Amino acid sequence: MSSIPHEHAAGDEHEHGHEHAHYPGGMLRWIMTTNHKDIGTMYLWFSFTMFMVGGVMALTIRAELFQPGLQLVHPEFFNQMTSLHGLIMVFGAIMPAAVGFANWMIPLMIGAPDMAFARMNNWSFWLLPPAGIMLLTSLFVPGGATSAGWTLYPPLTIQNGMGMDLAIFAVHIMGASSIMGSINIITTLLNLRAPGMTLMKMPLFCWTWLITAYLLIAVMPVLAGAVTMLLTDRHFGTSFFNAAGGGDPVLFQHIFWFFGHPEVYIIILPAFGIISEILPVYSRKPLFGYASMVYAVAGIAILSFIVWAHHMFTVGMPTAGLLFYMYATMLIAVPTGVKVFNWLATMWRGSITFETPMLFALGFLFLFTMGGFTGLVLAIMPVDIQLHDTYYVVAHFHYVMVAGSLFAFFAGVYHWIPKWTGTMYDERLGKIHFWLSLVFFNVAFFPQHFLGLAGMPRRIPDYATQFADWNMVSSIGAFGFGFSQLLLLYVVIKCIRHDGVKAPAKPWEGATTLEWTVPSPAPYHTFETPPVVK
Amino acid sequence: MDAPQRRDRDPATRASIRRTAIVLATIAVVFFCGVFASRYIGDTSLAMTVIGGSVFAFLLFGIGRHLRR
Repeated sequence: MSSIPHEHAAGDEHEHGHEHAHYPGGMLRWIMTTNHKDIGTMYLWFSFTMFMVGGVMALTIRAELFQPGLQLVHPEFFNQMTSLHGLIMVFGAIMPAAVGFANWMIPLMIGAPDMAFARMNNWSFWLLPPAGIMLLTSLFVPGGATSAGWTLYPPLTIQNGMGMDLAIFAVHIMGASSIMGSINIITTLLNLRAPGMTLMKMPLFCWTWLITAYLLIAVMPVLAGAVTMLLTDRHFGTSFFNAAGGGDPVLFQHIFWFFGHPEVYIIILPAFGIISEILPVYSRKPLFGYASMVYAVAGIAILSFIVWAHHMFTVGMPTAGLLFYMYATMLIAVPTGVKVFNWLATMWRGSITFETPMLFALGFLFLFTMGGFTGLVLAIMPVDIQLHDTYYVVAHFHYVMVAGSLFAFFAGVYHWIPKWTGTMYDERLGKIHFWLSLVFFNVAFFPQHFLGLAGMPRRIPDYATQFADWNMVSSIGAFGFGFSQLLLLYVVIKCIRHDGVKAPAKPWEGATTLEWTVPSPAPYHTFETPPVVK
Repeated sequence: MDAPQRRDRDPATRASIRRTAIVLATIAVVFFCGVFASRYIGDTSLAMTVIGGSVFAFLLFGIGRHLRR
């Protein structure tokens, strides 16, 4: 997404040391690059590509569900679509997008010349495309792709064909990439901050990524271990999860959700960080309650490790266990509430303007809070037993993942694209993109609450006629939302081609962080001489 | 006069970076092995709680010791 100049950057070089840009031309630049901006750009493009691929799968699902009865695809293929859609969106789209933002912005925000392990950074990225290709090609092997859902529950995963093995290897590779990326981010944040920038002076985006990276290091190996056990159950005669050999399929659920619930916060915490950067800028006020925001993020991360079994209320647990997980889950609302109220207090009596990043941030605030509330509903164990595996759950997590993470990432793209490309985005198109996304998102997912409350189960290609109307509405919304995203692509390409107003170093009046002190577009090398933070 | 050396190439900083990375990589390996171990510990919930508790302690220590730097 960058259009980094080949020559010296113009402007205030004296502040940022020598800005020599030495790199090979053409494709080699991207294959061999160790520059955090190049790698961030590649992460963001990879993420957008996978977002489109996963989006096509989502539209296949919604086209099938447009009317009751089997319409377009075979039920087995429908299951493969739901499974791959989940895996691709979580591991291929949302997580790499967050890492892309981290690569681009963390060194700029803390005044570091690059990431601590620049070569490992390159490797972390280049592991992803083979993993993505492996997931996609699994559609073409005998038996097709995995159809066990993104949660990969046995015994289905033990019975699936070769596509399951490819999915397991893809998860391994993406996990290795995430772990290396996290080690890089933590070491960068702990060792390469500009003189004077204590941890409690770091921008909140850096804080959220510091904590997210710790979460990743703790839980990605757990997922890797779980899928390795699946692999050995499938091919090497072990019985970790195979009940026929004395194994326990429920153990997989425990292990998976020990990874899976922190994973939700791995996805949402960087989004919190982006929102915490954007709201103060367009409100022209400092972030309200910085320290409490940091502690709230840490609190959310810690609590995320002790609530995993709320995903498994229906598998059978002692009442004490059910109550513990119910109350612990509800406890997460406290630090999350701290954050939401701090964001509101940040805007209170601010000089607010409504540029596209702010609109997406406000959309995030409203819709994520709704997703949080339905999460609280699902945390109530007796209610969850009714709603488990219904469309209510699907609606809930799409409000968190799409309106939460994705809206925050859209906000981040619009906020920082002047810095990345040196060109202001088209404000009118940006606002149209926001309103189309907001309306179609709600048309797609709000009716799914009604479907779930009425008892429509998830992951099925056919349904009773009583669910027909809301499914039709939901499918129309999904297609509208999907096609609206082409507008984002157009806006970004316009910026890359410099079709717009030239961006100044600091295009946003209220911006205060270090990235706005370098010229736009950001020179290839920045902060070789570290700035001093007072 | 020579340009000042980039901070990430300073030997002391490199050593510190390596130390941090080794600690983090070790944690990842311990967690990977811990999952297999949890299969052989009688109570799964207990095993996972032990791991969760150690993460809690790790977060407090890992971040807390840097707070004033």
